[in-house]
Amino acid sequence: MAQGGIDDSLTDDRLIREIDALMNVQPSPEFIARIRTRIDSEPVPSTWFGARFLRCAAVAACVVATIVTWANWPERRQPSRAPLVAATSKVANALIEPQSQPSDIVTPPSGSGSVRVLVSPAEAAGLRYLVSALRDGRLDPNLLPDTSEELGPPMPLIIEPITVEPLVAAADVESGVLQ
Amino acid sequence: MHEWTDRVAGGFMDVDDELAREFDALLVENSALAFRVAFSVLRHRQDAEDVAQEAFAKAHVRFKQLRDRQRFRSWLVRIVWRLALDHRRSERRRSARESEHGRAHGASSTDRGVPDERAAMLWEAIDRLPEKLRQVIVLASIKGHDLAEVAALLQVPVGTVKSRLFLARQRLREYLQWLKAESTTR
Repeated sequence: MAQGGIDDSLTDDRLIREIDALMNVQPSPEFIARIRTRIDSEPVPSTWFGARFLRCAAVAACVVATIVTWANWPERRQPSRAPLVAATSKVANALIEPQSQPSDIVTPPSGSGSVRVLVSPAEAAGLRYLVSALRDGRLDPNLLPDTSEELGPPMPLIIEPITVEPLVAAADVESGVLQ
Repeated sequence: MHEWTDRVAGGFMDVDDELAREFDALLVENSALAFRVAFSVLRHRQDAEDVAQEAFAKAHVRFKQLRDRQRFRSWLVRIVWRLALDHRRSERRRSARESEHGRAHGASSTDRGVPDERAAMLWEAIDRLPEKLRQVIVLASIKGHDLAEVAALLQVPVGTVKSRLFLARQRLREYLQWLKAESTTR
């Protein structure tokens, strides 16, 4: 076979050898150096990012832990009842001392989401008088009427039967004559 | 707090240094393979180097995510293969691209150990093979790339690779004989 030609009796081994030789080219000597340069020039945030991220995460975790601890501290939780007590005493004061709360609408501190207690002026005046009289001793609680005895047993409820009168048929209709 | 984070960060730095050393060792070991895989697709020295370089850069970024370091070779080859195919597709879209035949001469005859005329004929015969057979014969011929790796790359069983390889060589022989006959009649 001439150099550069294809032999008629091309064996498997020779074909494999030739293809292997064709494929197994070598990269340039500076190939690895070029890759290293490329990799070095790439912004790899691994270490820097890892340390920085860890530091930020730790600080954030501490801040969150501090806030949660502060919010759930028992001494801080105790005053949370204070508005409720104050509101209760305020209602009582409003009922007892007319000067302190001139309005008949007893309003707890706003923003607490509590319910407004509406009392009519007459009922409020009556209650105020009753409470102040009891407190000052002007009224003996034993003299108050026992409402349970006065009321007595409930009366039976009697419902009269309803009588429905049958409708009187018209003579014309019964006879089947239509006008 | 800062001391603790610094200590942990220092640990990260040590791990990163170790990773960098490990990657560099793998780079030296597999650079020729990556280049050859790219060259088998592109048949152009400079393009093959560029693609292999790109593949190493990608592999470097994702190296931490690779749990099994033993699979680095096949992982890298897959990256190179895909990048090379993408590059070839984009190259083919260019209308002003030089011909494949001209590109095949990007490697010198002394480099390949095969005369240029013979090499051109071989490439022509390889180009005439169906895609599946061409892939197998090209990848299996790369030094240091065994059939199991070819099978893993193409996601076919090793037996399929072997049968395709046999068929590819048979077809190549036929094409080469036909090409020789063509060249003598001209």
